[in-house]
Amino acid sequence: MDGLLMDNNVEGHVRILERILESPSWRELWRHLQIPIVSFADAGLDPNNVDAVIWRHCQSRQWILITANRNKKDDDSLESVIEKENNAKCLPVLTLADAEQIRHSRTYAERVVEQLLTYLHWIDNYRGTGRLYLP
Amino acid sequence: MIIQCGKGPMIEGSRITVYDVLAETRAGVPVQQLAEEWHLQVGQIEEALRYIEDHREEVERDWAAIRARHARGNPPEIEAIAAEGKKRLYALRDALAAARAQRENGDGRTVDGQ
Repeated sequence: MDGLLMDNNVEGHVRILERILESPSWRELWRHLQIPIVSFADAGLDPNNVDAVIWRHCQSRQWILITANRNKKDDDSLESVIEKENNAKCLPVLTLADAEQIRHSRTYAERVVEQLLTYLHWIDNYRGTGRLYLP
Repeated sequence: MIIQCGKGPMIEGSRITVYDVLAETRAGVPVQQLAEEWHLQVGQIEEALRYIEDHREEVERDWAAIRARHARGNPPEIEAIAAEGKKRLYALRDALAAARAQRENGDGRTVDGQ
């Protein structure tokens, strides 16, 4: 796994999580994992691309997409592409179950970080699961 | 402009849906802050807010479905793997701290001199 791709809708939340990852509790482990956090702009990804294209791009680059508030099942949605194309080798999509709470509660944000690291440090165990929730 | 896509009604060219706008504004995040985080104009977010107002019933229904799915979280088999993973995570963190302590002492002693 080569990176964590922030969806545009969670950049602010991931920046909060990043500050906790760089705090004394987790800094050493986070740096040990050496996982870059990438934005759509960093990656030069076109935000007009449909989710199916983004998901395939993530699989080919070995990036994990982190997003929120996605659950529709139209043909080009994340749910749909996961249903049709996911296999045992595919990386999951991470979904913030309560993104807004990250802004308001440090305790909750720390729980999210713990769960994020739980997934990331042993990511091969979660290949093929499709979608994982944080926390 | 609000366009329809697989994710639902979205601010064109942004990947930001009306559900994102609803969730964040309802949580009290100022529109100006959202515009900065999402690299949008305030007017684009205000347009999404007007869309929400004009399609209140439909947006609320979809948003409730999203919240309900998120609230269910992971299936039990994933939670079981994660519980085991959490133990490994803390073991790795402790091992990294112990290795650092050894390096810093230079003689194999731990940070408390034992």
